[in-house]
Amino acid sequence: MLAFAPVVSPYMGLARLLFTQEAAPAPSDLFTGLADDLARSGIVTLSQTPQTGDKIGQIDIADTGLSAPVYYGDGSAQLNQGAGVYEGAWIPGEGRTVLVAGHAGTFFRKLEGVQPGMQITFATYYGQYVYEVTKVDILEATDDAAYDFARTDENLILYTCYPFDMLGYTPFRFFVYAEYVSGPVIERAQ
Amino acid sequence: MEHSDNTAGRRLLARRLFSILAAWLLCVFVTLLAGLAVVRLTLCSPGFLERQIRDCGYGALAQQELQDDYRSYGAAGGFDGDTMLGLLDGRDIEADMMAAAAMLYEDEPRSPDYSHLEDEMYAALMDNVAARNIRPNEEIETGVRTLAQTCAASYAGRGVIPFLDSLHPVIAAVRRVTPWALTGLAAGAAVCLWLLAALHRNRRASLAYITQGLTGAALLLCAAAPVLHWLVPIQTLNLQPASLKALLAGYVTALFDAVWPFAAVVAVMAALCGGLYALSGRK
Repeated sequence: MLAFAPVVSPYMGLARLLFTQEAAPAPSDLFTGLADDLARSGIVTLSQTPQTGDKIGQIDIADTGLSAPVYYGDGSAQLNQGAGVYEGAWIPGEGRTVLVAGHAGTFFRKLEGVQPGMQITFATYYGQYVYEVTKVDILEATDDAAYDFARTDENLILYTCYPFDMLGYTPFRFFVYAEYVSGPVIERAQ
Repeated sequence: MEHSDNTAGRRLLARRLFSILAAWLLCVFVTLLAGLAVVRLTLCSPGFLERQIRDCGYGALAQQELQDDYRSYGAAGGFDGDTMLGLLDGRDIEADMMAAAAMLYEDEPRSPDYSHLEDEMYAALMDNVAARNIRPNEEIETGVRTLAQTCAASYAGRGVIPFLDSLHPVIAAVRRVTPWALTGLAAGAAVCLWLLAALHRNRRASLAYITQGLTGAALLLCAAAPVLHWLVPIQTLNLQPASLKALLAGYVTALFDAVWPFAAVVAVMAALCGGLYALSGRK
């Protein structure tokens, strides 16, 4: 049997790629109705990994009045309801890059007035995070230098279409870069 | 005397061996016959695909996805939801998908023509720009044109059969071959039945072997659907968009389940033969 393993294993790997372990559950609201005392420091255990479409939190920038619910995933269904976390990156607390998108015509309209030094509050279903804006930039949507997923420190990137009042498709994006200030570190449940 | 006993013994052994072989072949032929009949009635049938498109709710799912996409594109491109959803007025994604399904079974592979969509959507969006008293410049026209292209592509992507160029030759080949294969298998099964009847003057012995052959086929066919479902857990397939996944999952599930009626028919035939065998023993 072991002799067949090298032959069979590539196909098993392909099958694992094509098929998930279980059928995808319906999206759920992981955030609303939680206790007011979300953890703001220390270590939190994440027993439930978010699925595409789950509501995971709320983003607020008090200085500009931006307030948007945040969903896991950045597809059309999520961005129609709020801001969306890119599933190919990380979520707050994982110590890596968190990439959040939102539409300029709706939930991220007030990203326009954001400047370095402003604070971003990202409340999630497992903890509350604060980031400080360090840089604002306008880059092409296809510019790979716009975000660095290789970074090993907690950081937040918000982005939307630019110009904010553009009609139709625009090739530019408005990026807000922020560094971690406070929030709990995630420890995955075994 | 001893020589004739040996000859009779050898003849009996040969008769039994040929009977077992014929019964086994009958089982194989009947199983393959049923399997090929399933293929003929499902994969080779445009009506089957059209029924799955309807039954899986493809139209409602695709329509919801299109509405989500168009609202999202509008929120990114400065157009309100009503304007964007208006681009879908008068269009029926399920009917377009049905037309695409029918085209899959034509002699030459082709897809529905959606080339008019972009211009229609561009015109509708520019009408909205004009209604808002915005004077369009080159930048706006380019941006709106790209938006219209994206909307048209989103619609067209949900109104075509995926991998059409790969599927069409396979389906065409299977449609060409199955009538001959069905005829051959039916003839093979008939020959096995004749052989089993001819090998034994005693009808009861013939019935025994025929019952064995049909019972084997019934068991194989009854096991086929559950085994296929286990081998291909289609509900856990990692595929987007959800409408396409629902169509594929519904199609594959219905394809596997199409074996059951044939399994039932063969089981009834085996039961009838078994009943006749039992009755013949009581006389």
